Formats: sequence, C-alpha cells, structure tokens
Amino acid sequence: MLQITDLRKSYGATRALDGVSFEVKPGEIFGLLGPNGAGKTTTIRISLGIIEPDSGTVLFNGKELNAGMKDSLAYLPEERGLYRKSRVIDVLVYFGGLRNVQPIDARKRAMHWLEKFELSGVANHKVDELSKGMQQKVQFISCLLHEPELLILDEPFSGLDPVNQIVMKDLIREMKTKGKTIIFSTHQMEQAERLCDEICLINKGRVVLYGGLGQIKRKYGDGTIHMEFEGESSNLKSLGGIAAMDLYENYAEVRIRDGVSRHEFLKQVVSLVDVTKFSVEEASLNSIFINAVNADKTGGENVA
Amino acid sequence: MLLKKALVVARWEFIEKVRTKAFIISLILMPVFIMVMSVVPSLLINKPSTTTINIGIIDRTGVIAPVLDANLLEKYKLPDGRPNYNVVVIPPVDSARGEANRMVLQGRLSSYIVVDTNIMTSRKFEYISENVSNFKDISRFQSAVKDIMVRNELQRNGISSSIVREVTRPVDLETVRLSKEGREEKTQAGSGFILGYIFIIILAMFVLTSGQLLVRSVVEEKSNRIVEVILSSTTADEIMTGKILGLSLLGLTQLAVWGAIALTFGGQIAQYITVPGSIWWEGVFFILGFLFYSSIFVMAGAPVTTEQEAQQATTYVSMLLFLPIILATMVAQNPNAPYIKILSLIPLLTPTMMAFRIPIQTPDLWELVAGTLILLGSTYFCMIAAGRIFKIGILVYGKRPSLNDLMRWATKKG
Repeated sequence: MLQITDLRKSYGATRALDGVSFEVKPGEIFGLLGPNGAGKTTTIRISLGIIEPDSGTVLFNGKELNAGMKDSLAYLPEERGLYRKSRVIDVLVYFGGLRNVQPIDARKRAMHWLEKFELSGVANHKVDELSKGMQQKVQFISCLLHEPELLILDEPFSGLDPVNQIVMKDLIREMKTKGKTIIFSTHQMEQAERLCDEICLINKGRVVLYGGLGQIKRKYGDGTIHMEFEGESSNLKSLGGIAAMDLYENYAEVRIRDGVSRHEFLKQVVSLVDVTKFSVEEASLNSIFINAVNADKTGGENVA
Repeated sequence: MLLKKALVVARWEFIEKVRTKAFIISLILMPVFIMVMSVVPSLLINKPSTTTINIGIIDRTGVIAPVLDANLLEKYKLPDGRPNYNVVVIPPVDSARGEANRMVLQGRLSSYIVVDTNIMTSRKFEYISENVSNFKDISRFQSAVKDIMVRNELQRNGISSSIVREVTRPVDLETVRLSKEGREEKTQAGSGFILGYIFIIILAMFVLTSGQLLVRSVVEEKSNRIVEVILSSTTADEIMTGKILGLSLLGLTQLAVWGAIALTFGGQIAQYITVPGSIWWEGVFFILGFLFYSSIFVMAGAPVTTEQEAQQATTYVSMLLFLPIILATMVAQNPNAPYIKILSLIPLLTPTMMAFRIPIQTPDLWELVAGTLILLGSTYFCMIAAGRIFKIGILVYGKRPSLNDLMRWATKKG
C-alpha cells in the first residue's frame, strides 16, 4: 500500500528524519509511534506530499504520489481545525469537493455520517457553535466523505475524552473491517497496543523498532511478573534479585534480574506476604517503548 | 484536473466570503460613505441660505460702501426674495476696527471687510471673521468689490453705464478634448482628472478588498492547520489560483453592485464625465494590475502567521497603490513629462499611473504597449515567485521570514 524508503529531511541544522523506511500493507492498522519530536508528523507530511523530503521515496502501490491518487487518501492532522465561521455541512461538502466528490454525493454522505454520530441536528450550525468533541467528530467525518483507501491519522486520540476515545477506536476498527488501510501516529501506547497490527517506533528521526505487534512483544517482552497479594506490602522491599519493581498496596509489577529463577523468587515472596495471584506476562508496549527510547538515548545498541 | 480543484477552492472562497456580514456591510456602507463624502458637502455648499447674513464694511475710499449693498442684492437673494446679505456700514473712524471686532464676537456681524484708500494700487482688501473657511461668501465679496472697482473706473473715464454692464458680464468656457484619433470630444473641464481618480480608487479598492481577504483567509487556514488538509488533497498552485479566482469574482460582484448603485442614484455624476474613446486600454491595465497586485499580496500574506502581521503586510502594499494619487496634480498638469513617462513604466506603478493618465491624455501607443508588456512580464514572474513563496510560506509558522528567506523561496524551483 505505502512504501517508504530512506526518508531524510532537515530543517536548517535540525535533522528531523534520518533515513526512515517502512512499509504498510493493505488492510492493516499501522501504528507510527514515538516520543514528541521524534519525526512522526514530518514522516506523515512527506507521505502525503505536503512537504518534500531532502531524499528518499514514497510509493503508493508501487507508484509515486500524483494528483489523482490524492483522492484516495485521507488525512486528519494533529492540530484540529475547521472554518469556524462556516456551516458544518458546507465545510464537509467543501472538503469532499477537494477530493473530487460531487456536492450532491458529498452532502448525502455527510448527512449519513452526521446522523451516525448523532450530529445531524447541527448540520446547519456554524462550526464555532459546536463543542470541541463535536468539532473533532466533524473533522473525522471530513476524512471519510471520499471513501479513501488509506487514512492517515496524526494523533487521533489526543484531546479526546475517554468516551470519544472509544468512539474513535471503534471507528478505526470499523474502517479496517471495510478493508481500509489505516496509519495512525500516537505516543499513547495503550491505544496502539489495542489496535495495531504493525508498529514502527521512531526516535530522533530514526526507526528504532519495526514489525508486527505480536512479534515485537514476543521478542522484547521479557517476562514481567504481575502479582496480587494480601499483607504488609512494605515487607516486599527486602526482596533480593530485583531489576525493577512497581509496588502498590496489594499489587506489584516486578522484573527480576537475569539468572534469578522465578521459582526462587516466588518462594521468597510467599514467605513475606499472602499471594493471591502470580502471573508472568509480556511486558506492555509502554515499557518496550520506554526501554527502546532509553537505550537509544544512552547510545545503546540499536534494538531493531 | 488542475483547474477543477482550483474551481472548488474558488467557489468556496467566493460563497463563504459573500455570505459574511463584513462583506454585505461593505457592499452597502462603501457607497453610503462615498455619497456622504462627495455629495453631502456639495449639497450643503450649494444649498441656498435661509437667513440674511450681516456683513460689515469699513470703507476708507468712500466709494465702495454705498454701492456694495446694491451690488450684492442684485446677484444674491434668498429663496423667499429677501436679500442674502445685509451690509452694515461702519464709519471709518479710528476706533472702527475695535468696534467691528466687538460686533463680530457678539454675533451681530458674521464678518466684515476693510477697504483702504490705496486699494486701486494695492489691489488688496481685508476680510475679518471668526471663520475664514467660508469660501462661498469670501469669493462673492471678492468679486463684488472687484466689480464695483471696475465699474467706478470705467464710469470715471466717461463710459456709459449700459456699456459698463455689458462689458462686465461673465464669460463661459467650453472644453473640448482632442483624442489620439483626432476626434473632438466635448468634455467638462477636469473630467479626465475625475475619471482617472475614480479609476485609481476603484482599482485600489478592488485590490485591497480582495488582497486583504486573501491574506486573511490564508492566515485563518494556517492558524487552524486546515492548510495541511487542503494541501494533502490538492497542490499549492491550485489553492493559490483558486483563491485569486474566487476573490476576483468577489471583487467583481462588489464592483457590479456599486456600479448599479451609482447608475441608480448618481445620474448627475455622469453628466460631468465624458468617457474617452481609448477607454478599453483602461481595462487592460485594470486586469493586469489586479493580477500583479494579487501576486504581491500572496507573497506578502503567505508567510505571516497572525492577523496583526497580515495587517502590516497589506498596509505596505496599499501604500504603493496610492502613490499616483500623491502625484495626481503633477500628472494632470503635464502628463507627458519625461519623469511621468518613466514612472509609468515601473511595474509597481504602471497599472495606476496608466489608469490615471489614459482619461487625462491618452499616452502614446508605444507607451501603452511597453507598459502592457512590462506588466505582463512582471505579472508572470511575480505569479511564479508568489506560487513558490506560497508553497513554502503556508507551512511556516511563528518566526517571520526575512527578505532573504523570501528571495530564496522565490528562486527555489519545484
């Protein structure tokens, strides 16, 4: 679907992208992850032809982006905005028109989506009369009118309240079931973990982790112990062989040092508190993310 | 494909702006403003007075005062037949001036004149009032005094009063403009000047309205990042073309409405203006001028981020537009002066200079052709440069780019 090869881009002395390559397969949800300033937005802008890279190529289905192809793309920028003084339905029809949708069709589809979001009542209202959440939905609708093949969403969850985050998540899922390809960028790992088929983690303009989500989690998800217990939690502070521990009143997440067996560790714990649950699970994407970024920062070897 | 999306943008710009309150208000407000500015003062000046005005005279010659009242009465009467002016003769004693001043301050006189014994040689007399901007009264007194002096002198030389009256009757002058093709066009004096003025003002208004809207719409789209969405669906060139197209249409709508208003209410204006045969050149410079200035607005507007900066950018461009107005009287007196010809061929001034000169005295054909070619060339280059600056500028936020940056963008291909 989208093939990005060795993108480089500098702004003055700042190197925003330093050889970014990845490929997005048709029909998948692809997560573009990374801390703030990693180069996610720059990558997206270059992919969409908004800005030109210094070098590198972007191919859609094997071809370079041309004017006709733009009509099968959708883009939701990170900073949301609509024409504040214009009517909702007019804005939607305009955005449809920019993607070559006839006004009649655009109006019909816009009304369909507005109804679906329970916004049909505000179709003739001015944008600035709408709440922020409503505006974000309207903007998302503006991405759907031309029935795009590929949706590129820059931080789609930022600024959404929990209820609307779920709405957004369901929508992304729905798009996937309709066979659309979705790329979204985020620094919220929980969302990426729940949605993505594949991820690409960028830090300082370079790809640090790239691959299928399950594969990455298996590879870097060194077993983390999750346990629940009753008793004095401070007793656990005396435990030996611990690499890192997140300790709460009745819950703890522990990574043990290499060479320490879980069996020995559990024995110690049982002697201190009354264990009600003990499990070894994959590390969360969040901790993989943090480890990868930290390793990159300290000049450690490239985990990818 | 390229044109199609430009048309979508044009349509949007046009419809959204036409609907705004600001536009509708400007449609109505501007003609009202022009009317108030041009018609009302002249109405007030030409409006006959309804009360008799008391004027004083201190006459040391003794020959003006006795006939001044009759002279003024002969020419100026109130609509109801009463005299417009009542002359109060103040005896020319030493304290006369002090007395007269007091009467003016008390409101018993609106003004007074002082005629000294040597008026025949000095050719001067004084007018004293609290308000010395009353041009109508002043010029009437001036001509009345002169009239009396001439009559006295002629009579003193033994010329009969009937001949004196005949000789002192006013003379009228009819102006005929000779066109380049040798046609004689009967014209009110100064008509070309007024027409030229009107053209500049219309062009300036046209460019300013569209230019400001253009800059504002770019700033809005930048501030809410809509520009990224639009750029991901189309190209910067299409956006720019669409915007200029839509806003030109808006300007034309405005012109059409104002024109209709002018034709409906301003019938009298037309009788003062004669349209010269070379008027279609005016259209050439109007359209080219509009495109040229639009591209300058694009260059000035694309890199700015805030409304405030936008305001500044447009102010600088507007100054260029009004420069010929400053030169107006010089152009009117000698439209063929070499420096005027040179100024007319500087691209930034060509549209307005030519628009102003054509109705006054049509420039030579070579000048018109040279002006058109220069303007065509500079419009072409400016449009390309504007497109490049626009392409980069609309994605630049915060720091205002330097002139160097702009030059670099303008010369960057691709």
